[in-house]
Amino acid sequence: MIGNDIVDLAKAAKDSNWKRKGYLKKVFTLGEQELIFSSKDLNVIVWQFWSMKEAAYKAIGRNTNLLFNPLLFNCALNGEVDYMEERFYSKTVMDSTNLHTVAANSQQYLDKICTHLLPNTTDYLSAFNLKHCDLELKKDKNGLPLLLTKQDGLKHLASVSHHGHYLAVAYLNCS
Amino acid sequence: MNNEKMINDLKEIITPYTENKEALNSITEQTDFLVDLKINSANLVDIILDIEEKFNIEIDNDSMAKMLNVKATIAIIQEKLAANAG
Repeated sequence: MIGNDIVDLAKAAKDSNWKRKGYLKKVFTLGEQELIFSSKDLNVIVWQFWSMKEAAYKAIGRNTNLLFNPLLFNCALNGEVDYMEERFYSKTVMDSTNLHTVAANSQQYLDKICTHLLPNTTDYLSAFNLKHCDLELKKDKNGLPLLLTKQDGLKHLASVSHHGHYLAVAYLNCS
Repeated sequence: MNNEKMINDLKEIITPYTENKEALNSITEQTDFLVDLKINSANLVDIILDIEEKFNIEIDNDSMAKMLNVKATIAIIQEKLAANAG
C-alpha cells in the first residue's frame, strides 16, 4: 500500500487561506497544531502535514471507499502518520515550488518508492511513457495506476498525484 | 428552508472555489464536489467553514467527511438546522 501527494506551493498560496479562523482545527489534531505553531515555517509544515495525510489516505484508499476525514490522521515530525490502529511512514521532499510526500504502510516499502515529477497535463500517461522508454504507466481495470518495467515485465503498484503545474508518479520498486 | 433555495445558497458559496463554471451553472442534487466541480480537498474545508457561517451551524468532522455532493451536504445542513431549532 503506497500513496503520494504533491502540492504546488504557488497554487496552494493562491487558492487556500489556512490562516482563516477555524481552518486549522478542521484539519489538524491538537497535537499537530502544537507542532505547527512551534515550527519556524508555518506555511511549510501546514502543507507538509496536509500532504502526509493525503498520501496516507491514498495508500489506504486504494482498496476502500473511505471518506477523507483529515482529523483521523495524526502526523509526527519524523514522517509517521497514524490512522486508527495503522501506522504509515512517509517522506517529504520540497523545493521552492512544490512539496511532495510519499507514504507506505511499512518503512521497507517506503524505502523502495521511486518518484518521477512531470508537468501536469491531461495526457500524462503518454508523456510519462515517452519520457521513460523502459517503463510503461497505465491504469488497471479499476482505474488505479499501474507501472510496468519492460525489461522484466513486472507490475508495480503506482500512485499518481497532480496539483497546479505538477504531476508526480510514485511506484514501488521491489526488485 | 426548501431545497431549491438551499441549492442556490450552496451555489453562491461554492462559486469562488471552482473553475468549472459550466458544471456549477447546471448544479443539481447529484453534483459531486470533487468529480463534477473539481474542487480540491483544501477548498472543501473552506466550503464547510462558509456553510457554518452562512447557516450558523457547527459541522463535526464525521459529517464533513460525508459532504462530497450537493445532496449529502443539504441533508447535513438540514439535520444541523433541525438540531439547532430543537
